[in-house]
Amino acid sequence: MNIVPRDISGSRALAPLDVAEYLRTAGWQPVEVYSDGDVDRAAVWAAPDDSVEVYVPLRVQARDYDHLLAHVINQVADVEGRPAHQILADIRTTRADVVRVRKASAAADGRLPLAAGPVLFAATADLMIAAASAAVEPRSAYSGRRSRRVQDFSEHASFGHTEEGSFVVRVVVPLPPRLAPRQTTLPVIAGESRADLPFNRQVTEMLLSAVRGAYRAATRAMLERSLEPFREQVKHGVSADLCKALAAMASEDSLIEISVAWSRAWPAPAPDARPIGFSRDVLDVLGEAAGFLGEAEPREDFELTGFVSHLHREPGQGPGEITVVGDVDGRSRKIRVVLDERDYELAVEAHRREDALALIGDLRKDGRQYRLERPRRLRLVPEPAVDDV
Amino acid sequence: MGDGLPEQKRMEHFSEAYVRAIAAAAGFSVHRPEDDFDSTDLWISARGVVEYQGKRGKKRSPSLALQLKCTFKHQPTGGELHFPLKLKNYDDLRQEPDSMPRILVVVCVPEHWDERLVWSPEELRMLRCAFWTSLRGAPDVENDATVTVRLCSYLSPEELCRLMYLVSQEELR
Repeated sequence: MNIVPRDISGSRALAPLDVAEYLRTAGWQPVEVYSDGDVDRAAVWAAPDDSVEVYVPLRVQARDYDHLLAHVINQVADVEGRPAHQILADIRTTRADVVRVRKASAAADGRLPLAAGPVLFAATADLMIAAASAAVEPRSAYSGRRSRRVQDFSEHASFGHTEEGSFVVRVVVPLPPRLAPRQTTLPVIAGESRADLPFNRQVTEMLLSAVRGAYRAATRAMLERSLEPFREQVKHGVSADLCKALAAMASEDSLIEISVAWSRAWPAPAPDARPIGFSRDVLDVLGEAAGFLGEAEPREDFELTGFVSHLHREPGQGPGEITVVGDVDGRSRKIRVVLDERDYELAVEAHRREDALALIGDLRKDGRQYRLERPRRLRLVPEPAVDDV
Repeated sequence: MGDGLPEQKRMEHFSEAYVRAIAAAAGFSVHRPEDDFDSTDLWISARGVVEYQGKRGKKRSPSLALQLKCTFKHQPTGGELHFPLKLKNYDDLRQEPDSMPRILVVVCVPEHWDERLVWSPEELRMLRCAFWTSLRGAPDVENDATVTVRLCSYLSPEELCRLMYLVSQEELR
């Protein structure tokens, strides 16, 4: 079925650059440019087999822009033997990687229960943020403020229109125009970002690497009955955040599939790979892995407030170790802290006066024991006097 | 003939067929925009370099937009046609911006259908003739519902070829 002008002008105007980039990457050649004075008004492109030439408008504000562009797309569709709407969708995402998260329900009727919608979209966003964080620095877990690059990524990547085919959430990751001459395909090294690529492309590559790594780790974990395989995949982008996001997508009857369609404007690391599918049992393992990896990584800038329950220092002056009873994720925990001499004296004072102690540090879990490393900004939090109430 | 197509549609189709025949004879393709487009009824496209009277066009694969009218009420005299054009059409044709040059084509036909197309085993004749003009840069006209436009150039296969040559020279804008 042909597309019509309102298909182009409806949601977002197609930029001439998008069209040119698509034609170029599809093997069309520019053969002529028509101008009106100093202004280029149209370009003629020849098909790869030279069977057809299309007249492509260059000025978005021209009155005939949408009509001519619709005509061009229909002509391109005839040449390529694909539906015009697919061509249009590809043009819109020529300069973007598209991540697809497909929730394949047993009913396969393309509908998603109301309650599941917000969860799936939130988990997909979390998945992308986890990949972006790993593209900056692979770690087992992320806490505190995200880096500027990750924040920028989350502001520029967006959800695209959903697709038929069970329920598909699309994330459109925009890429800048590629102005350098086309290069040969670059070698692929799993999990290693290529600094010459735009950051957003590094994120989608990391996403694919991490999702594959998570799947590998999960299947090994089920065989070995240990979550240790997940540690080995951290360098490939697997993190507690990524595992948690995937696990959140689980439901009784659904398979989750993740795939990436690479922008045509940039060299793809591999042809569009088969989707990576996660069944319910694998997603359950990922949920466990999220906790496992989360504990392996210190939580930076953790604010601890609690009462000193234990003091220990070797005879003489110098640093000592205290135990503070404080809240961690809603549960009361004993946290050990090594303090320098001055802070240790403050802790002693807090214990004597039965005042709470507040401090900031990096919370780490070793086995079943919590420790607060790099303690700083320690202060007493006196109990309010009766008269102050 | 029976109820069939409304009269206006019949005349539109006839005039389009007339222009398509001229374009085919001249070696150009014709396309119709999807959806109604107020200002353009047809696009004429050439493939490759256009040659006219031994001269090769500067740029290849020119395209030309047509707004097409059909009339039996207004007939040429002395090789000229005076045609009343709605003000909106007039303004659309004289202003820019567009992605290709645009012209007005008026096909003049006899009053009765049995006179417009004459068929025999030996030939098919379509009557009667078409005129063209460019209104680009024409003066602004106010307070009129219609503008009388003067057309004095017949549209023939050779004339269409000349027009496409001028487009490829970027002399017809």
